[in-house]
Amino acid sequence: MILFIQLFLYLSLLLYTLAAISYFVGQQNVIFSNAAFKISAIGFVVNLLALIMRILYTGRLPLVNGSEFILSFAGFTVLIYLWYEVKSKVNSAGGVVMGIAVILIASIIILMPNQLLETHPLMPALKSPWLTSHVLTAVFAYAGFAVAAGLAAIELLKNKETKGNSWIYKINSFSFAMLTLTIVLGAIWAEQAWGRYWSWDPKETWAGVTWIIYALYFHLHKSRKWQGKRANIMVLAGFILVLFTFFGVNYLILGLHSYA
Amino acid sequence: MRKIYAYISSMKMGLYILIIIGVTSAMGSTFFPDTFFQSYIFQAGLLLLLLNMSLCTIRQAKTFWQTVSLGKEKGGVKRIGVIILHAGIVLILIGGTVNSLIGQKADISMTNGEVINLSDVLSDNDPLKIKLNEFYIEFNPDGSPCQYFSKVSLIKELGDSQEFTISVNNPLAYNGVKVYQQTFGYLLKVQTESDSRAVTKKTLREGDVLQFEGSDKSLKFVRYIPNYDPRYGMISRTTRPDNPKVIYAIYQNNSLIKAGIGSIADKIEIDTVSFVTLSGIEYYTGLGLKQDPGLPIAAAGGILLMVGSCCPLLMRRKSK
Repeated sequence: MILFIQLFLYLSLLLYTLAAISYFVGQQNVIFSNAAFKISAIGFVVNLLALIMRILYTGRLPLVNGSEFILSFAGFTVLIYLWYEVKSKVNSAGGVVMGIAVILIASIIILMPNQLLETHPLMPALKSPWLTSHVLTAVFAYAGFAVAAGLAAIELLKNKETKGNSWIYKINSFSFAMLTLTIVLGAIWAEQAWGRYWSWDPKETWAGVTWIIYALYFHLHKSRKWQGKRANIMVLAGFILVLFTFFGVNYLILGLHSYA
Repeated sequence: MRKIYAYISSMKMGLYILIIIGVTSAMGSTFFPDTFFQSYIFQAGLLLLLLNMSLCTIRQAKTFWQTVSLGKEKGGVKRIGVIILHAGIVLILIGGTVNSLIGQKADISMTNGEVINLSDVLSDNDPLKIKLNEFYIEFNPDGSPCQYFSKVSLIKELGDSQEFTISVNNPLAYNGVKVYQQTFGYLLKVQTESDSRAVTKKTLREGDVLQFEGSDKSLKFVRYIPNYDPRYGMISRTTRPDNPKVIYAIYQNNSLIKAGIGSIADKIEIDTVSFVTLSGIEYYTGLGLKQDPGLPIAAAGGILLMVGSCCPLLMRRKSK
């Protein structure tokens, strides 16, 4: 089982890397462009297999430790991107989004090489029916923000308004709703576990700051001057905060979420 | 006056407050995590946000109602969603304010059989006593804790009692009071013998110092290690008591003269006439008590916030 988890992990890294390169090269070459989507889809299936193997190995959903979260985060990022490409028929952001997936998978291999290969019983605080809904909505939110950031980055590089703009707004609407659910479900859980629904724990605070930047994005988006470049910069800044809330807070600051 | 009202209730003002709260939270969390969020200035910022959002939400709801009654409303579900979302945040802020004004919390520690009068801990409470019947830990096969349990009885004024089992993630809720399984610890039971005097039994907490009458020596209960393994040093290998040991230190006139590791039933010689027997280890449970009248308001706010944030997603699907 461990061997399969490792195999699928490295294979998904390889496929996501090939997909990212194909998307970049595919901007000038139709063959690469067509292959990129297929390689990404195969990469997603392999990523999914790694998650399934992990489920079979641990006997629970892969939503508990940092590496499980990142593996799910990478998989859903690719899935949302593939859905976007099918719907929009635009693939210009594929290279950036697959690049994000590559960094995520690589971070598991570099920062937490053994976490997926071992299993520990859940600590009492994590034994809650709220765990699945809280973490799963966080995976959806983070994955959506990653795709929106990829689209925003391409918009900024192109330096012109394109069709992508409305998609960024749509994907961010979904992700913002998911982030709101994550925060509220986490607050309900915290109230049950610790008796405090909001403790200003570093993770809560930075999730709150992330929520605020996206709330500002939605308020300002009504104004025309905040719909182009400025909005895209905000989306990128929001995603940097998302990454800091996960990596920065987990690995630099100790708090109630220090097990994640 | 109307201008001030218009500004305080404006979205622009709300966004400025949000930016300030966001920036200061990030800085406060990084540089002053223990004090910043309790500071008056930060609390004032939250109150200002509550004022602005309350006025803003009321105005939005009024406008929505007027356009609906005139039959001009177009973006129905989305508008309702936005109002519900804002109302949710307002309720959460009100719930938090109510809690900080009249909410109470306290931490208690209890040993098996101990009774505590709750009205001594939380003021204005009905006469209610809590008795710890048993605290125990269930372990996983690897020796790590699986769950912590406190079996308690709530004893009412007339003496009738009700039993509850509190564990992590399963607090006791009774008449607005909630009791949480928060922590646990160890008590060392000892028997002292000195000279010709009778044996005395005592209970020590980690860090407690036992003085001996007529002697300049004392014994400190440093730490209990439930599963001692020399490779792990002073840290227990697991929480399960597979190899229980007691770390103690003997002082003479406040100077350390000996430190040792003892097993249960060991008799430690303090001097030629004084002895301490390590009779046993007992758990104590740490319970968190809370009375938060703002909780139902904040909970209603949380539900509205979730519903409101999901409304635009439902609307988009419907409009297709």
